[in-house]
Amino acid sequence: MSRSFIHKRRTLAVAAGALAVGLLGWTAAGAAKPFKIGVLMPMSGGGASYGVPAVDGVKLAIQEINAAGGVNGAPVEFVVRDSKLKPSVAVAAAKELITKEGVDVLLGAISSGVTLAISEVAKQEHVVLFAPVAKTTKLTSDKLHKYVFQGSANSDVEASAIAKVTKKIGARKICATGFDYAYSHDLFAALKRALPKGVKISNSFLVKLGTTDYNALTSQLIASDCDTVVGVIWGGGFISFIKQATPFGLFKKKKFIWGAEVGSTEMAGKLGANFPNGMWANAYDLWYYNPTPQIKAYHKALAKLEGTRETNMWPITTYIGVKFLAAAANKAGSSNADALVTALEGLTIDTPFGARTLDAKTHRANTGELWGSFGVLKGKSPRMNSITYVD
Amino acid sequence: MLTNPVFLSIQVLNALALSMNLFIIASGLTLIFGVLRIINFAHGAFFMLGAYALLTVLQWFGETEAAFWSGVLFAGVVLAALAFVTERFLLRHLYDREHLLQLVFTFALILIIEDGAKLFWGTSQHSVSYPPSLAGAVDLGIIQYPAYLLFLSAVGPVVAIVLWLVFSRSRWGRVVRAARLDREMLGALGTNVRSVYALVFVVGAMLAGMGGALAAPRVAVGPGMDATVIINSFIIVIIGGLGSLWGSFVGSLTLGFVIVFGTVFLSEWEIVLVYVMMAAVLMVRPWGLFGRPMQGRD
Repeated sequence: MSRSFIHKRRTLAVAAGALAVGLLGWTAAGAAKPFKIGVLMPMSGGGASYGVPAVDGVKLAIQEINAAGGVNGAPVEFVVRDSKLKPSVAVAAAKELITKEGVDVLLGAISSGVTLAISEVAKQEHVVLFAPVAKTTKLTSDKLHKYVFQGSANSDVEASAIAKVTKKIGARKICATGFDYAYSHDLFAALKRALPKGVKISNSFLVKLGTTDYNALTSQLIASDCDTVVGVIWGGGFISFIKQATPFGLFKKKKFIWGAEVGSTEMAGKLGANFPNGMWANAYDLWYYNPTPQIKAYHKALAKLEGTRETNMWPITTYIGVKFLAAAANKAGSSNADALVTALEGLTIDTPFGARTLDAKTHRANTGELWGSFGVLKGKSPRMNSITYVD
Repeated sequence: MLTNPVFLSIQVLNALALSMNLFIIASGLTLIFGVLRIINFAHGAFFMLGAYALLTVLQWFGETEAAFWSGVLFAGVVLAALAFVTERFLLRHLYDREHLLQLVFTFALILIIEDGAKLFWGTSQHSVSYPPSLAGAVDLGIIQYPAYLLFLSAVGPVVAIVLWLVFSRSRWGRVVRAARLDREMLGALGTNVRSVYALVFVVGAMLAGMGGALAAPRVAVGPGMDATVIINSFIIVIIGGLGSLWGSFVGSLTLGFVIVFGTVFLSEWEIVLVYVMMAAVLMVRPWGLFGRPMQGRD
């Protein structure tokens, strides 16, 4: 509704007095209308362990924004729909959020497949979509359109961080391993380009997505002459791999660098003392990493909201997403989608992790990740040491 | 890579562990077929339920030694109870019906169990740790090998020998063999054939359930784990000869080695390779390696 009005105002030269009065009246009414964010996250089943904390980030950001006076004088609200990690479910939910709930913007989802699907809805419906988690570079390359913005660290960023670590630990020959699908392919292609001179990928062992039997992979890694393993197997697969490979003594034989955010507190907590000592891994956020007062304040606020000091990693991604959207709405002075796009392009905001900018052309944020090596002390949950923020 | 002794020995041991794990499951399938003449499609679902049963016990009591082994037993008990009820109230009415109906019935069981499992345990994948006593590695000279997998490799032959002894030496085994050859005559001689059938079905399901529980730490527990297992078990039983215990044993070993070495050397062809092997065996011996040509009992 609002879009078509403004469109007319822009295109029709006839600015009749009556229409002008009507528009003014609408604008005044719009000031009180809340800025509504439609959140798509897996809230049940396998993805809930990602989706539920991600919504905490939304809550926290909105609390802070509303405490500071909201957006354009109106409060920010959000509505959550369960994407169930299924593209079809998420697409239906996204359409419902737009048409029935009348949300101004969309924020979501978790997996790359689901995010690409709802990105199509955003494109058709002309609604801004902020993707805080999905890492596929496709979202903002082949499939880039006006209304999609990517807040996650994409696979190019991750590859360059891994390349820096290989240099640091003196790797020469690398075994690459991951699930045989887009993310791993993108990442290792980018890694090949990013590796310093003298370091090469000597073997690549890709396994079927969702594999549960890692014994063959383990024997291949043991028998291979590489000195370092770079892996991006994630989720339950990572846990199975670690548990199965440990008795083979694999983690004592080679150096390990692992992407896909397996360094998160939730992952490390699940593995406990089984987490390989000395493994380099990444995470978006770690509750025990508090180098600046800003990060400290963020963790404190999140801990209050979640009721635990050991907060997890996903909230920061959506927290920053909501902050971007609200800042854009303030800058645009409206919640009109096209105005929001213009405001988001090139927008820089202040986050707990310093300034973040959404590139005007690529629609990607310059998001980095925390990297460090893991130290496992008996009886304590494993922690990342000598943490550096790499972007 | 074949010349690398480290790699070769690990792969051989991996193949053994996989084979013997598969054998425990396939032996139950072949037993049920041998006696009841029913192809139990739901055997894979029984296997999955066994793994979930262990998982549940571990979630209740923590991943301790005692919890693990009682979890394995619990898996056997749960599956035995389920099989008993299924046989008593449903399957029993289908023995004299056509094969298609029996197939449809066991297929329906799969759908019910799969969706029930999703409802009850969710859709995520769970990882189960090795029991503490077998969590370490055994030093075999040139390699270290997980103790649990060696244990798994040893369980298979033990199960095979126990089953063989029971069938060839005990009175009960004789009754079962008789039930397999001529059900009507056995009934006429005063044996309660129905209870023999029920017992065989229960034992077969227990083997699937405990096989699933023992497989849990080797892989991971989650939806879909039944599908791969049932296909592999069928291939084993078909190669080995329907109803033959030692046939399944040899079939398991063959399949285990083809899968493990196929995954490494011909990863894109691994799936095809298994079927090519099966086709080759069936061309030479249509009744399987250890099977006998069907005599058309019905």
